[in-house]
Amino acid sequence: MSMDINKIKAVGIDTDELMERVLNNEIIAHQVLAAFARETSVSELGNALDAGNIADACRAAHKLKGSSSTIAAHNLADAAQTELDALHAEELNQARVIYQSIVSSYEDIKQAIKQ
Amino acid sequence: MTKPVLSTYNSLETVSDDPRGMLICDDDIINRTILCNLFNDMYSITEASDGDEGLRAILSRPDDWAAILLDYQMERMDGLEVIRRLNRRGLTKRIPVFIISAEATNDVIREAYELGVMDVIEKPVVPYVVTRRVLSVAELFSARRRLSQTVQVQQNELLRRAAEILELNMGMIEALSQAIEFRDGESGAHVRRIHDITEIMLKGTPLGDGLSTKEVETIALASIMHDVGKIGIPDAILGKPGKLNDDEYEIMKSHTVLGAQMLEGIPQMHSNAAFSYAVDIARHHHERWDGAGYPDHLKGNNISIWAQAVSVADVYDALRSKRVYKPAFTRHEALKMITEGACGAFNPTLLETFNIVEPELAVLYENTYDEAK
Repeated sequence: MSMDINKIKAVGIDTDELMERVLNNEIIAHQVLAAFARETSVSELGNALDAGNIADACRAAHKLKGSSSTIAAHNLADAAQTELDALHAEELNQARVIYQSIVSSYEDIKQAIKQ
Repeated sequence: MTKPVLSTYNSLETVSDDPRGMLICDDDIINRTILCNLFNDMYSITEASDGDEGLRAILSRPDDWAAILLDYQMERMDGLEVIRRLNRRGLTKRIPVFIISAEATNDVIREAYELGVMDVIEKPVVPYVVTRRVLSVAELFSARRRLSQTVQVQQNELLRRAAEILELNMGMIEALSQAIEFRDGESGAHVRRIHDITEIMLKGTPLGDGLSTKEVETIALASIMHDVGKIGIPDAILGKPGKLNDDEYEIMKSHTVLGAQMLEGIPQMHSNAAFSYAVDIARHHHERWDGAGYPDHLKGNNISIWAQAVSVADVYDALRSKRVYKPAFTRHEALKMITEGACGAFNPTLLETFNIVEPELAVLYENTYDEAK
């Protein structure tokens, strides 16, 4: 099973960093990305924002930040950090706006992984 | 595909009984996958997705882990709580534990170190850093374990040799004493019986009150040498079949003083734990409670407990054993003669103890000491 490196790169994943992290093992890289594509933290974040539950939203954003960093999706990790900042400031409206960009980035990455 | 980081460690010295398990406890499957990939060439990996599952895995086989990697923030039970529980069981001293975290605060890190965590590694992990840190510490634990095993093996060897030397000493003392008994026309088993009776008389009895087991064993060893002075008694007296005349008897009695002098004249004996007992017993095992014994006519408690124990053992064995000039007395005859003073006066506590242990002695004479019959 081979990945289209260019498509992965195009959605903001630092593939060099990712490949170094998995010791250049493409199978492991694929497993890691596939796991990321099954992430539930984005939908959990959306649900928490809809419910106005800041604690749950923080937890989901934190998890997303961690997994994005691990696969070297730095833009998405940065967005998750911005979301966390907004949530810590209890700026729910701003958090909802940021969430839209998170969903968009995440969907792009998911599509690239699935291809 | 190459794994340059790992190849550095593949040549690490390991021993067959080193634990080879690694627990990777993280609620994020992505992190678990990456960490497994880093270490699965070197360890048998067990994965756990929360602290509770991880703790159960550790406790189910605590000796199997070469290292434990714990995420800090997990559902149900976080990494710090796992470490607290491992610490309470003393396991953080035996197993290298690592926290792998992106969000541990200084307070968390401090507590983790205080609880015995070996290192806190930041997420996302950098392969070179995490493998180097984990394997260095795991190797340190392994080396410490090997060193401890080596020390244990050497200690066991030293103890074995000490036991051998002790056995050899005992054998030499016994051989010498038996050789002297042979001159006296005895089989040599007499000294072994005196050893056993003395030990029975003093171990856990009213007479031996205050003496440790070790002391009693040393006294029993010393008792073997009670008649060592007979080596200086002429054969004509020692082997005389009839009654000794007064002069001969005086010479015979001198074996007590001779024995003590002989033992005192062996410098190598002085550092032996049995030495002072042996000298005292050799000199005083013919003293009697009323002062009618010899050579110093000691009276009452001036005679040491061990010399008293050997004196009654010597008399009892002489009565129960067949000699050229007499048959072996029965158990009841011997008991009667000793308690009624036919063989000299004994300490009441000594007689009380003797009556307590005599049934045990009778069994020995009946079942074990064939040569006395």
